[in-house]
Amino acid sequence: MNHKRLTNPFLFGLVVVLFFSSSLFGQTQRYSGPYAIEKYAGIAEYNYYLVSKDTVLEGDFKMYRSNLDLLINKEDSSFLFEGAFKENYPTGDWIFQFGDFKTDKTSQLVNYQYRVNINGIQEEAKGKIKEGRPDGLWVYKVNHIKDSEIEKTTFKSSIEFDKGIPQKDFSIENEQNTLVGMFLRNGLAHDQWSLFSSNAMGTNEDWNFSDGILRNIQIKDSRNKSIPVYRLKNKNTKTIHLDKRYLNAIQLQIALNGEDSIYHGNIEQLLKENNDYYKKIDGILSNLGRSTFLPELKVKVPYYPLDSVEVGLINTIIENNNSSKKISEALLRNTQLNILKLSDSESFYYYNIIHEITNEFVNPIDNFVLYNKQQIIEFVPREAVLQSLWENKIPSYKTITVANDVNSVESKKTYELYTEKDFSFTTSSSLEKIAKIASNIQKSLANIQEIVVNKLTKEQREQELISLEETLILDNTIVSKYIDSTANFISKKYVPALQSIKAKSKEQLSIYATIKDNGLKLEKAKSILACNKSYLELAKTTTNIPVQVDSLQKIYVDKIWNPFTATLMDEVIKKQITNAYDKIVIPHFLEQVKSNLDCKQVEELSRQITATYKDVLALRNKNTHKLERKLKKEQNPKTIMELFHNYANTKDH
Amino acid sequence: MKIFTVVLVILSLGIANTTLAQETEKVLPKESKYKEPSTKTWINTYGNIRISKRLFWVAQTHFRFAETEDTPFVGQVAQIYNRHAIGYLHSKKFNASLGGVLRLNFNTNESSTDRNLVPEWRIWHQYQFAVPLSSMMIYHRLRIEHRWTQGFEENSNYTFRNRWRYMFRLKIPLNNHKLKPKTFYVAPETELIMQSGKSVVASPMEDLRITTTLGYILTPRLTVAAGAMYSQGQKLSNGGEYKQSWAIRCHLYFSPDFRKVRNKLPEIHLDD
Repeated sequence: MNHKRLTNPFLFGLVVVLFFSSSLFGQTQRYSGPYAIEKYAGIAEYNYYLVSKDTVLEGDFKMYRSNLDLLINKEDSSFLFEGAFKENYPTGDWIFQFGDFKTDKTSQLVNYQYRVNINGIQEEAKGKIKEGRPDGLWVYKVNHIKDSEIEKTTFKSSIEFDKGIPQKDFSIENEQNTLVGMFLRNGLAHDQWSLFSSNAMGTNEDWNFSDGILRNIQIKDSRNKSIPVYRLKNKNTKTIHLDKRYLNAIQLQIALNGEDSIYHGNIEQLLKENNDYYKKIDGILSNLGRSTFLPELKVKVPYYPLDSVEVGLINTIIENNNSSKKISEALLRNTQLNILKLSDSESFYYYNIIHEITNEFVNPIDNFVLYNKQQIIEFVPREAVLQSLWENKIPSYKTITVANDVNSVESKKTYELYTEKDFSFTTSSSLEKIAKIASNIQKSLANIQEIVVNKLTKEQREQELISLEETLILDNTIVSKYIDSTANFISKKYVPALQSIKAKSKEQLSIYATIKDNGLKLEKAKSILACNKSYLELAKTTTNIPVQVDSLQKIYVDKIWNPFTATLMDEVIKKQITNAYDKIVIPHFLEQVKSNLDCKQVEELSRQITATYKDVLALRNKNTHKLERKLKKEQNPKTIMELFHNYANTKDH
Repeated sequence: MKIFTVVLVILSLGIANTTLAQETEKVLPKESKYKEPSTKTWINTYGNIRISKRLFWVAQTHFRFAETEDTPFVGQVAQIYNRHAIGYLHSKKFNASLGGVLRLNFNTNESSTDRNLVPEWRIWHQYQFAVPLSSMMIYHRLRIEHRWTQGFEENSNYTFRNRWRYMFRLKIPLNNHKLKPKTFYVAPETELIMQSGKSVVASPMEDLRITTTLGYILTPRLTVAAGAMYSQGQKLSNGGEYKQSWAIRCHLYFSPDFRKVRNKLPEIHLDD
């Protein structure tokens, strides 16, 4: 540039603008050092400048990592991202490499360099980027490396883009399948897409698109069959991405067309694999600057948009059917019902109804719920959806007939489903019909649930009662048998008391037998259960009294020297105590046992008998002169027991 | 065992004494003469009062009745005994006592005009061995009495004699496997009473008593018994004449223990 030219006012102006602009954008700086994006951490080298504290990448960019130590000792995950940015947009040639390598640790010296062989997988993506979008041919390869050489390619996709929109031919292949197809300039799938299987047994098929609309699928195997997809009576179409949603939509459409399912997932698998690789790069680029790196494979589908009323109806359907499903699953899995249905005809009948309703209504509507989840309802005619749910016909019938007798296959009973009289199945729209069916079914199931749960609760209570009754009878028998068994050895004195325990225990059962109400019965049974335990305890305590008296007799003696016989003789000591116990307290106890057998007092009485015995036992070695004097006059058993207790618990000396 | 040896020595000395003092003043009949048996009733109380772990007070009062012409067995009071001693419990199997006796002798000779009542004094000591055998008890009792007696005549002098007594006795429980309260027992016993002293010339066998009683143990502290006794023995005045008697015997045995409970406990085990 010579000075004369600078006199040109235009050029001068340009120079000034350039000068200012460069000062405005600031001076680019170079960064070279550690850097991390997502899970990738390594060394980065790049140029940038700052705009209001934001980093703007400009110029060459390189980020890499490889670790020899790790490679030799274990395994190294290396990567290399290299390209350039312009005003923060990735632009120009880019290369992405990801490697997972191991080494066999053999090395050789070549040209003053140590070389080691590596084994592993290397992914490499190469292509141009324009304003953050893939532009031109992008090739993504996954290579298996063995002894530092490519052994095989397990994935390869070649797609040509124009500012992010796929163009012309593309191919995606993995080890099993290859998909080849083409796009229109606007990215819509067009013409023939072919899927080849590298496996001889696999399916080869052609997908024939016309301006983004899949017309048919040509299966190229022994069947050699053409499956029509969209016939396109509806002119209203929508452009969507070729993704899982689209594949679900085709699936539904093929089913609606009455064709066999051809779904095998091969195309989906390839597209998904490709998508995942592109996402990886998009993730890196989005973290560095501005970009949209996902390939936009587009297709067209017939479009039947949902209005707000329909959306409302769909929500009602989902809500009702989910509720129905919950009820039916809970009841069909209920162990009690499952056992009961084997013997109880009514339970059998309800189980069958629930089962039938689930098959006839809940499961089909659940398919509709699934279509909604897949967001494909908009792509098929409503009426067709309705028909797809019920293969035969829309179940407008209001009754269900099922077997109702455990012992007879032929016996059947009809259940009337909930219906709304005002609703017309002939004049309503498809969604309205589904919604109405879902709501009716929900109400029917809720009603059945109430009946069944009540029945199960009742059954449970009855079962509980039966088992309680068995225990009651058993307990009563135990009490009776125990008392009968004492007859052989017990002194007559104790017989009336024991017999009255036996009688009282039986009497409880008779009282129980007169109660009609199940709730009261359960309550009474539980109280008798506790009571019987107390009775048995009292019977045992009573039977034990003579044993206790015996033991007291043995204990209340002292060895006395009889000088006339020159022998030691047992002398009964503290007779006032043992007499009061034998002659007053025990008869009192026996009287109590006979007359005072209120269940609540039984336990207390048992306790008292045992406690008094223990008191008397303790008195043997106590200073009891005063007590003995008091006992001489005392005839009241309660006072005596009290005295016993007091003296037994005083400290001597 | 030492005590046993001492007793034997004393016994043998006593017997030697009697043989040395033989006199032949009275004429002995060619054959022994047995008098008709007289009848008597003895009502004896035996007290045995514990005073310490090993010592007890022996207190016995015996009422002895003799027949009269009109009334057999209980016609008149013959003797009243007051026998006291301090006993020592060596073990369950051996005990010994030493004490005195005041016997009041009533003149039972209905025709006599002499004194009606004279005292007799004794010092006595006894050694009793108790041997359990099966359910019964066997007793060997050695009793030595030193007695001073006087006749019913006015101003008669005291005569000193020794008595040598051995008694063999069984107590057999009848309704129990051992002697314990509420038990009946039968007690056959035989006692040989020998005597010595200046006045004893040809009548060393004072008395041979064969007795059987039926007893009932009311409590360890109270026993009653009753039985019959046959006895015979040489008359002091003439060794050739034998007196005989039948006696009804009624016994009351009591053994109170007034010690405080605290002293009584633990129970008496003596040395076992």
